[in-house]
Amino acid sequence: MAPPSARLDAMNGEARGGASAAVAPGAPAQERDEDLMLRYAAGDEAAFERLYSRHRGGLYRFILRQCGDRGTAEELFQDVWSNLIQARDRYRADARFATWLYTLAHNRVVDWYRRRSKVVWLQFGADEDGADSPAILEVEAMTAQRGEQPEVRAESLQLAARLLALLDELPPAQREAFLLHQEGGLSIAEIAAATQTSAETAKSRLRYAIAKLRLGLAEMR
Amino acid sequence: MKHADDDMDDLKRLYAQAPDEEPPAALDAAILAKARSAVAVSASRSSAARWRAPLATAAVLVLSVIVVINVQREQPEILSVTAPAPQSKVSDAASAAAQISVTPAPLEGRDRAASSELASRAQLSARPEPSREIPEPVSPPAPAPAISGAAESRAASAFQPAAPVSQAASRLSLRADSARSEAGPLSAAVTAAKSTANMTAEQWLAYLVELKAQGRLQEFQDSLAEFRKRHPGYRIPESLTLGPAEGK
Repeated sequence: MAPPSARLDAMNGEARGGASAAVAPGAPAQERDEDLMLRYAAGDEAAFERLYSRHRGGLYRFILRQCGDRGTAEELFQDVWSNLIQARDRYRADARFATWLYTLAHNRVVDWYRRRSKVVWLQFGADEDGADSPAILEVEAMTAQRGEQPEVRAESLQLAARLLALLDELPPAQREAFLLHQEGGLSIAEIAAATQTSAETAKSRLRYAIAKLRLGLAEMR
Repeated sequence: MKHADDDMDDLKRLYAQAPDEEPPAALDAAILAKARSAVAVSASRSSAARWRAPLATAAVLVLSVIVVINVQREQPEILSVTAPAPQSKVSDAASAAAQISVTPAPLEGRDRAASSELASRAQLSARPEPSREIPEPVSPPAPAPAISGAAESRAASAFQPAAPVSQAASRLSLRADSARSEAGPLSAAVTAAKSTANMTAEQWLAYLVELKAQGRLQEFQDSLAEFRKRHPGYRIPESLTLGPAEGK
């Protein structure tokens, strides 16, 4: 029997970003996350392995880029999956599996924030910026088209590293909205559901996050 | 909003080029092992739950069968006491009293059914015990026209419905004694009247001697008077004519 990591690597072609991955034309249809979860709840271990392989990377990065520490990220990551395993009998496929998974992750991260520092928690819940700040107006004016030349690629890698740094500087709520969108593939409504906020709030957080990141990247250029 | 979408696509492309941090293999293994063990535990729990209901049903059935068997084993003993047995071995006086006082009256409805059922069960009973063969009619005795009120009530009280086995035996023996002492003279006279009709004079005289020796004076006198009527010329021995009974 192959070790778990090898099997996961074999299955990992399923995509970064988990459920948001598109199925290539002509490829065998992927089983839906929701069906896999129901099969696991019914006792199918292989269904869990597939599900785990799809979401392990995205969920791990979602947690890691919020707490900023590998050890903590691994602990929280394991807690989230443990909670999912324990709650498998209560799972109902009336929403996307990714929404449920990232809701569990959000709750666990918020809990971690609460224990860590009350100040940080207050920051997490607050939206710092008002609407239509100059930064947003500036970002909205930016539309850069880039090619794929080697020098452009090197610049992209630099920008990616800068992006992560900027992401780390975002207020927690905005960072979370951005990560939910990027790593979990969640829509505005799903981000709102996962973070227990209104759709307007979720949309606003995501907008501000994008605006700040774009502004930071523009300053670098 | 179109600009925002373009920004998002741009950022998405850029973000995808960021290093792909992933959980370590040991963490993967731990989580997968936990998922497997959770499924195994729930499977064993569900298999235990699957057997719980049939086992409980089987246990209830076994207990029910045991109770039914025990009830059936004890029931015939009670029934054999309550059911009337035709061959009575009680004393003559008691049987005579029963014959007189318990003239079978027509049973009605449920009593008749119960009586017939009890009788049939009593016949089916494989081991009749001597002490349980004492007649104990189920239905209350019907009034016997030729009997006095006191005797009737006594006879009625002597043949109440069934009682527990141990009490029934002692009660029946007491009833037999009671019948012998209280209903005895009357029943003996009747018996004597019936039996002496077929006796020869010598047999009758021997019977009179026996009555006198037993001190059953009233019967003796009645029977002697009857003898004199039936055999007017027959010489009666002095031992019968002289004595405390005849000297009145």
